[in-house]
Amino acid sequence: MSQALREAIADTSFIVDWARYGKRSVLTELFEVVHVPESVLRELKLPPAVDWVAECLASGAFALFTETPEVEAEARRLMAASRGRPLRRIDYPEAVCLAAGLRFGYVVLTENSGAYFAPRVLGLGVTVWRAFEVIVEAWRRGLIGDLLGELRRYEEETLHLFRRRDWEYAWGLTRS
Amino acid sequence: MGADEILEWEEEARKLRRERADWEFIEKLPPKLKAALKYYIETGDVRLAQQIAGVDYEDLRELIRRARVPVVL
Repeated sequence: MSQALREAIADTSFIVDWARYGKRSVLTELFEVVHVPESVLRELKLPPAVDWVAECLASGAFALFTETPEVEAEARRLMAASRGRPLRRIDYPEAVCLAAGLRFGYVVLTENSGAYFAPRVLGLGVTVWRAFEVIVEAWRRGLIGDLLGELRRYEEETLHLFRRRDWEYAWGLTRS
Repeated sequence: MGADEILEWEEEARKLRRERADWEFIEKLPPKLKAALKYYIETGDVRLAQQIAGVDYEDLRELIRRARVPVVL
């Protein structure tokens, strides 16, 4: 089995949808640990997300991330920088994840458009993945077999649609 | 990334949200929830939609699902 990637940090938008995905366990196979900020944990209250996160915290696959004053300050700076740019503004819980990603080198997991586009628009040196990138990486590492099938499954199970460009990219990968 | 790609994504996402939404369900909702969902469909901004609705994140996310509005990203 290939070595797990380094660490990730996940926001509410990612967790709430990923928890519904039938192959959600590939996440903990891909990453050594997934951090969950306290501000994100406070937002989780419904199954399957809250149950799954509790299980993963118990097993050590997830770890609680405590927001330090430095991370909070960086989060607020990112929020201010995002206003007035050609993308949706970044709100606090998502900004915390971006700040932690910048500070500690975590891969940021999000389904929030402001957070997802922020690195490219603001020139941030942080890796941000959606479920799409997680599933593609899981396929690259042999953790799932049918890339297109799993992307369709994720769409159906979470009521989340990938963009046309993403599907074109995925088709290209499977043909090569 | 250029503004063009972001605008292209926003338009594609808005079109899909509008087309897939269960408008019959949405029109029967109480005013705040209906306004929040219509705002979300037009903008994809779940955080501000949450403020409009006056509910927690997961409650709004569930409502978005029940209204058959897809997240497009």
